[in-house]
Amino acid sequence: MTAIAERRWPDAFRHASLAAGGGVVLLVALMALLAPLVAPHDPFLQNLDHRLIPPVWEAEGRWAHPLGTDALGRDYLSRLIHGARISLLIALAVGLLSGLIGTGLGLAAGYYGGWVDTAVLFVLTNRLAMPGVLITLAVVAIVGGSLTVVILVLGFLNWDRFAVVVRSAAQREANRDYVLAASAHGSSALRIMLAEILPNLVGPLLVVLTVEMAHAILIEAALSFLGLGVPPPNPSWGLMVNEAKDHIFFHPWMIFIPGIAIFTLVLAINLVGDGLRDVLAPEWRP
Amino acid sequence: MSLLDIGGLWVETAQLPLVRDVDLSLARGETLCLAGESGSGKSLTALALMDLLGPGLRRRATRARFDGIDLLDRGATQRLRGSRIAMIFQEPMTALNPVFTIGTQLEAVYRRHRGGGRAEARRRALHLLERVGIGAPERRLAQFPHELSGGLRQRAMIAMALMCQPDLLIADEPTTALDVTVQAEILRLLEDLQRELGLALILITHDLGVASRMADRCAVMYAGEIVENADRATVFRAPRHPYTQALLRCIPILGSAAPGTPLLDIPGVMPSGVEAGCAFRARCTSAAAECTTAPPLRPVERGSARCWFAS
Repeated sequence: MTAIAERRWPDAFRHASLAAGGGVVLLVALMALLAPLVAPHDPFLQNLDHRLIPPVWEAEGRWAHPLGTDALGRDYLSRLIHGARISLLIALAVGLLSGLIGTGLGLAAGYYGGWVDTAVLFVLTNRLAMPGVLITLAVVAIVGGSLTVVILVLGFLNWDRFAVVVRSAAQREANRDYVLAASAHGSSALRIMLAEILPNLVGPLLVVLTVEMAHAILIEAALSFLGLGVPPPNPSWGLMVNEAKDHIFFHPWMIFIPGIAIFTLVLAINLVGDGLRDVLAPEWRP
Repeated sequence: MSLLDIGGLWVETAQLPLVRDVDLSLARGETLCLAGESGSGKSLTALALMDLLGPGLRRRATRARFDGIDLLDRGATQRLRGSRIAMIFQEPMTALNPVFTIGTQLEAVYRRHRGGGRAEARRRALHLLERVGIGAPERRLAQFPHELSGGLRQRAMIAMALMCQPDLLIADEPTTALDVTVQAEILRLLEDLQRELGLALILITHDLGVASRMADRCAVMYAGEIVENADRATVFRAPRHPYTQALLRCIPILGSAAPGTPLLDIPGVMPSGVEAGCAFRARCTSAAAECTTAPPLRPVERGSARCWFAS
């Protein structure tokens, strides 16, 4: 099936923020995919003789470790590159899981209305009333921190924006004639929701997806910084900031480097979202 | 035996009946026009037949059979929709899904009901697009609805409705959104297709001109009821019900009235609730004491009319 969205891709390259954000995201994604090939060293290999080597632009920096080494002598650039894997994996997995939950609930609520809508809104209100960080802390404290736990908790907590956006868009679409026409052609309710209405919601969905992905990266970084996210010795960017906090006065670059990485990736994903919103809006012309 | 046989059909909200006690029957190859002004219940009647009423609306009927199949059985009705009963709508601009190509939508209907591969569905789609008078069907199949004009879209809708060779086609104001020349072409197309395929056609229209051209029989609806149901000649030449008579008087005839003469109309508005007695009585010129009791649909010469004074 060809969707209208696919026909707009050539326009997308002419959109400045979409091109810039997309470029950075693509670069990080390539880095993450090819991490073992790109990284100059093993990110887990400790070398206590080479501890706290500063990056090359400082006086004692050397090219063997372009971004220096951490307190255990592990190569900082390699850890950064491997850390991109964790951030992107979190973004994709959480985006997918929360997207599935939120889209499913939103579609059902918007299409059926009535008591289904009331029930979904009730669940949504409850979800919004829950303090997300507290729940995450509690779950991690009980189950223990791991990548899987972080993905599951964030996935099950962050579907609200998907549900709200999809619900209102589905309500609008459900009243269009093509939905009635589809039932007149014998489509079942499930088919109408998934094959007729959902393809019309691709634009808003992509935008929410980028917002949620950026959000998930930030939360993972925050959790890892608190020591409740991805456990060491994994090279998570948040964990790198955490491990660097003891050295903040004498080696501030240790915090800046992963901090800038988090900032850049989140900014890039948000730029992509903004750009998509423009490109997918019908009134946008390059 | 008639293909469609509906008796005592009601559509109602929790508070208010909207369609009251409608009887319809239709033979294969026959055209029935449902005529009436906006809000008279024409479309609701059709949607009720197909079990496509919106939320909050209920339907009931004493009998509803299509070729021996009970239309009150929701599962059975759903299986008929799109395969043996098809429907086309007033707004061809919005009745096609904007994000899929014409070809995708046509093929999906065929494959859903008939199974079969893409190639087979595509052949059928090409054949039908050509049959409904769309030039360069190969190219049209790959186009999106917004790339087609209103007339072409309505033709595509008709092709889509015919994909599975239905026995009954319900056309809800199929030409209202189109300009007059395109309207004439679409009506001719419907006539041709009907003759060729032996389709039974229910044509919903507020345009008596369309009805007089297309109908074998015509049912005139007013305030949710059928007020007159007869063959075309009777309805348009010798109408029995005062409402039909008044409607026909309102059609201006070019050159017959002096310039400056106001056009005729029927004073008053259609009642929005249910009142005791004949629904048309407040606007009827021949209303009398009997009219405070609602008349049944009574057999009259060559048809039936819901009026105490019709004969």
